[in-house]
Amino acid sequence: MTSVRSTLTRSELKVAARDGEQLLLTAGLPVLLLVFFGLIDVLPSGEGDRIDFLVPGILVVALLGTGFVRLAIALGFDRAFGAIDRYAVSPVKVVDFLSSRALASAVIAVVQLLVLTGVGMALGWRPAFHPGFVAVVALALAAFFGLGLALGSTAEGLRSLALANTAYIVLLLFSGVVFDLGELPGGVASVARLLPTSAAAELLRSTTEAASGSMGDWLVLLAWAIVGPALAVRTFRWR
Amino acid sequence: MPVVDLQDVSVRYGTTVATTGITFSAAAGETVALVGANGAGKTSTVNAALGLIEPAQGSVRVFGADPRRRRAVIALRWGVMPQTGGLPMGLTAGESVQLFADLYGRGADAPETLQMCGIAAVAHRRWRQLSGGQQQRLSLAIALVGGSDLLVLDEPTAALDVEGQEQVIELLRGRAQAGSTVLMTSHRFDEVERVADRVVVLHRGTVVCNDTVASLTQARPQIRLRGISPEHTAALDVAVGTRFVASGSEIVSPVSGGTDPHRQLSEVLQWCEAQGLTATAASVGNTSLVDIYRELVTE
Repeated sequence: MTSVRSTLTRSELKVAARDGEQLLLTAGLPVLLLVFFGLIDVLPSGEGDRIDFLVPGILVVALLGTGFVRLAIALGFDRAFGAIDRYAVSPVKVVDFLSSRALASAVIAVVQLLVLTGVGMALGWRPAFHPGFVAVVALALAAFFGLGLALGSTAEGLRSLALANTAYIVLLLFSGVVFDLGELPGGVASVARLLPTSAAAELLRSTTEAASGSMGDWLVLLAWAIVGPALAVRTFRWR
Repeated sequence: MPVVDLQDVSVRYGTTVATTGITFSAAAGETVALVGANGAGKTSTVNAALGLIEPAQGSVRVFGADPRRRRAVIALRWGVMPQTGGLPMGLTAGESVQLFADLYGRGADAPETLQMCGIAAVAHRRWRQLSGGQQQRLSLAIALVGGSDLLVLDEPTAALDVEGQEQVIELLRGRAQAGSTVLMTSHRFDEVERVADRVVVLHRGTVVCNDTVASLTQARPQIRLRGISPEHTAALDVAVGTRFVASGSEIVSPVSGGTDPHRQLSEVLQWCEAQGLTATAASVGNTSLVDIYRELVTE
């Protein structure tokens, strides 16, 4: 890692650690959802053990919050408050700037996964990890980073906040993360299966039950992991 | 090779023309001030020089390269203080200066720079907790921990009190003496006169003057009178052939080329005496930049 990138990553982690609202969204909300729906059986989770369905879905919620929502809002506000202008006249390269933000979010995401795995196990979850689990997390984060950075590059300040949170809620509802996609009408479910969150949730369920997951879900997630970062690079402007 | 070189640069925002045909350069070690009224095109010109705006026409070279294509490399040699611009919201002033010092590989210089810019005492505060003057000092500190070959400062003293202005002027003089090239914008002519080697006057988006401060001010002697009301200037001009205008509490007149300024002053004083008018002070001196500017923009 270049020293510029590591300097920016450390700084970004410091900013993230001090941002109470973002911490609530990225760390607090997934834990709350996991504990609530883990203890109270109010959502249809399909066949099988409810906790086996729920925990991988909540892991996706956490990755989405950290990878997509946090990045989009942080970048949108940095742009609105002129912080990006400062980097724009510095020696920071676009690739270092974007990758440092992604790396900082990756660090936060790993901590979240560990915490949520611990809470899930306390609620009775007994995962059997397939080696593909790490690849699913990496691809999902790549997709969410890319989409978050692209949104933060095109929408400033409150607009980025509103759009990121709206997308977050829509993806929560239509991705089978907290209830089974089969509960959605057929046509809607078919489209929803093409979302990165749906593919990530299905693959995390498989790879935490010692299975490799379906090829279709891998292809969908891989496509988003390519499209997201490409969009981020294409849409990013210093000004 | 000039450090900064703009040739025939025009900047447009949509259909709005901000600058037209801007041409000037800054040689190594030179301090160049872009002066002009609000909206004259100073910041657009600086932003074009920094590569933040793509000119609609013309060429921009900094250290011989296009700053839009080679920004990351060129930026290692410059320190920039933009007119506006915040900082990452979660960082304190001290951490912000440290961050940018680290990005330039000058991490060790951060504490001293905070001290030098007078913000060490508020280093623990975040950007939005600082006053306008403190924010400006912080911006200057970030510019000073950047590259030292070129300093680009957009209105460096705009929000500062008199003491702060003096400190910044001394800092800039020190940097210039140490060999830095300085490109700055200002609408404080006294400050420019004290700091700049060359002045580029912008008016309505065009360059109306590009000359050294010394040749501008010294080549144009001026008669200054105190105690004579501006209402008498028209009669005085007709009688003696001067062009008096009010300037603060004085009336001033440029001396035409070839005319002995002291002889002309003597004629002016004789006319005043004949009219029963008494000047409380009279002198011949260099024309101030502000008077030159007034002349230029009213021509």
